[in-house]
Amino acid sequence: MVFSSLLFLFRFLPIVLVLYFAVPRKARNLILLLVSLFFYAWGEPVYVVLMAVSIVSSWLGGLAVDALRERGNERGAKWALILASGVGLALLGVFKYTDFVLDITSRVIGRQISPLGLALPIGISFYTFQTISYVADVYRGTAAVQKNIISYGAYVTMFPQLIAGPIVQYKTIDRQLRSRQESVEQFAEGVNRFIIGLGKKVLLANNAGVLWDTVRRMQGPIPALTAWLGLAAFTFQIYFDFSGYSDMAIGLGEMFGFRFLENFRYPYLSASVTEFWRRWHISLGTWFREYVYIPLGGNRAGLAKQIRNILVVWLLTGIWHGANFNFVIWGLYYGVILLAEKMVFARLLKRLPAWAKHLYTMFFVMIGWYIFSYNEIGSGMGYFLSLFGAGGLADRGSIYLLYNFAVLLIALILGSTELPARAGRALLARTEDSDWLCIALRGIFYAAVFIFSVAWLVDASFNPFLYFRF
Amino acid sequence: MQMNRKQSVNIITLFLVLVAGFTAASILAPKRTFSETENRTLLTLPVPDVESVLSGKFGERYEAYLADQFPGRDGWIALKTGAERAALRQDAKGVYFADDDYLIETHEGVFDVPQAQASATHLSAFCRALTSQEDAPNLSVMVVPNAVDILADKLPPFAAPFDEEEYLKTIQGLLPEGVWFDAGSVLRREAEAGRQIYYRTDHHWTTGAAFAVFREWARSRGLGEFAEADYNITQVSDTFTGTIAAKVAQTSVHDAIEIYEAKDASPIRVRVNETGEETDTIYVPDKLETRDQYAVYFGGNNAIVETRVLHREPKERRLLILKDSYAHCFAPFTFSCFDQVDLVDLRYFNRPLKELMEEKDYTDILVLYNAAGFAEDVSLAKLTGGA
Repeated sequence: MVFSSLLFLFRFLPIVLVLYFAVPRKARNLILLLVSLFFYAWGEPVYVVLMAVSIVSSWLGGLAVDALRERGNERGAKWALILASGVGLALLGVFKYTDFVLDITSRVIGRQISPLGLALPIGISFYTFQTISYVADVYRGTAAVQKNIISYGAYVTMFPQLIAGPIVQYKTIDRQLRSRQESVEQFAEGVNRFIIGLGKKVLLANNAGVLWDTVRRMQGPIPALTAWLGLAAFTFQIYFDFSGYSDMAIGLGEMFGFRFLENFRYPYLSASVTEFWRRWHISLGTWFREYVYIPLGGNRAGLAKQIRNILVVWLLTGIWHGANFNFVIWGLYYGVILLAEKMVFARLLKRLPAWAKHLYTMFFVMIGWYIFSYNEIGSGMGYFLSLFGAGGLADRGSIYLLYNFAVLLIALILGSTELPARAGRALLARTEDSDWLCIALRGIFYAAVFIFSVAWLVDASFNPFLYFRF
Repeated sequence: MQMNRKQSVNIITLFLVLVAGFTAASILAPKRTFSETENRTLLTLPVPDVESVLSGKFGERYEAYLADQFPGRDGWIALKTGAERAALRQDAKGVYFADDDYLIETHEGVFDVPQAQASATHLSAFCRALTSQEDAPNLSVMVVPNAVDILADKLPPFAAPFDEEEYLKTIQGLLPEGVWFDAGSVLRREAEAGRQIYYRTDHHWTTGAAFAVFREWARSRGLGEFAEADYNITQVSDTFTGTIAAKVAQTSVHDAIEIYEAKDASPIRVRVNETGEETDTIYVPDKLETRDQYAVYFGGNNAIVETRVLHREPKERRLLILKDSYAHCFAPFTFSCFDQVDLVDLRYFNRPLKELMEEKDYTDILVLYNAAGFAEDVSLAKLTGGA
């Protein structure tokens, strides 16, 4: 199930809200666990079993790690950690990467091995990382062990973040799981956040997707303007799709009294690629830093090891996004750029004027998205050459696309900046003395976003969800 | 900007009212089985069973059912289209908002795909086989261009749809000499002379346009000379809102439907889908009360419609039209020249075509499609005995 659907808005959500607030506090984690299992099972009834195995094994792993450490058995604790993470990683490996490995193997040995064709379990990349972070944190002593499997199950399966993150680290919501105080103010914040996310996903991302879909299906060389318009559309689509989903997740979390960490901070305002990755999918970057980069020695084991560590992290980041060669290249592409920024261009970058920094950043980010979406492009490599003029500069078709989508493009550009939020704050600041004016302004805005989103969902000719596949 | 308690309570109330309101409405609203506007059957509540639940199919169907049965569905779609037009979009859902209130389908991705090529190949093989026979029937092929081609001057500025002419030239090149009839040139000339060629809200051509093409075709095939004055022209509707308007839920523009009846028409006997019953007209006026008013011709799509024309002096010619719905308003004109006119729609006709042709011993065969319909039609494989 996805949030941006009539099913979620007008069946699942109302039932969950009633159930959740009708039961006493003590039973709320149980309700969360049960409705989350239903939420997951809606689209993937069979793979619930897989998730259950992952939950139980990591929960037992946490107990074992804790018990062994209590007795001073560090070695044993380490083995328990390895075993528990190993189960999660093995499931992820089998269900996500088997065919990729078979494909590589058949290329190497020059004989065709038929792929298994296993369907990717939704959200497996997200929940596996959460279970690993839990056991690792118990091992390090940065999180307390969770003895209650219902609370732990609620943490892993919690439907707001189950299928597309943010990747919530156990230690950040440990206390909230044990005792949290839902409040009217927080619930209202959650409502605002959820509706903003819904609008970003349904009104901005889906419409940007229409433009991208038109361009990516074109065959043969296309004019540079068309190619860049298409790539810009994808650049916006993936941002509003994913950050909109994170907003909805954070908003829903707030309704139930949780505070998840932010996952996006205006990434397209970045002045360097390094900065971009501090603002994009923050929970994934943090996870890799805490559970891969630093354990490998980070930057404290000499330059050579640091370079190795950075490349390992980016290789993994790449294939985390998908079992395909283009994701390997995409990851390494960023590894190399980040290394170059760190070691070579750091000083040069600083001296550039602001506009040049942004131009530079967006250029490499967009080329990154080209690599990322490679498998969906009709003309594959030809598209890359088209970006640089292989199909001419512009034709009637590109001018048509430009003015047909002009209003949308302006909305997408503005939406990627802080301007709308700032304008909203400025407007509300002026109405501070009148509650009713403030309520009216907010009410009209949120109701409009909600109602237009419903209109787009009813006429759902185009409602894909990009991060579903990871 | 932090909200205080009063503001928070009100925002929450608004949200819950919206969610609960739509939830209640979507549960309580009466369910429909058919959408007149969209001219299609709507999904009804699926019944879960172990297999469909475990495979996730039940979930999918339930979601589609929710969208189909959402209360005020047409209004929601109209709201969306309105918003898109307000955002200066020149097209939506594959429809151009063209000049002069025309809604014109873009047919994007229809002609530059393998299926379009396959359609042309099947037709070519059929025609070549037929013309190589001894005493082969007279064969004509008419693939009528769509509005996006003929009315190109009404499209939004810079719109660059796929060039249908290019596709039609490919088909023409694959056919035996003398078979192709160039309906496009006739339509372009007539459009310039001010004739309305297509409905503003529907994907079909007008009866007037069909007549103009018939006149030229009959002349070129030596079937006689015809003039508009030979017909009583009656407007049977001025409330037609066609399929394209339905797609974008536009209700403000209406088309008129005119029918042409030959002044010296001979009586006819019409048999639909090989049943025992015969009627003496091809018109089904009841259909004018429904959304799909174009179905006034023959009641819409049928596998086969056989018409005997009782001329005082038999013409000794029998015509088979292999067609899509573009032929519906064209076929009545041919009654003046033939004793028998049979319309076969390969999408629904499941007997071997060869069998029918041997049975009926046609003297003339006309293949009549619209270009987009032709390019997309997988059933053309039946022309060569496949599928």
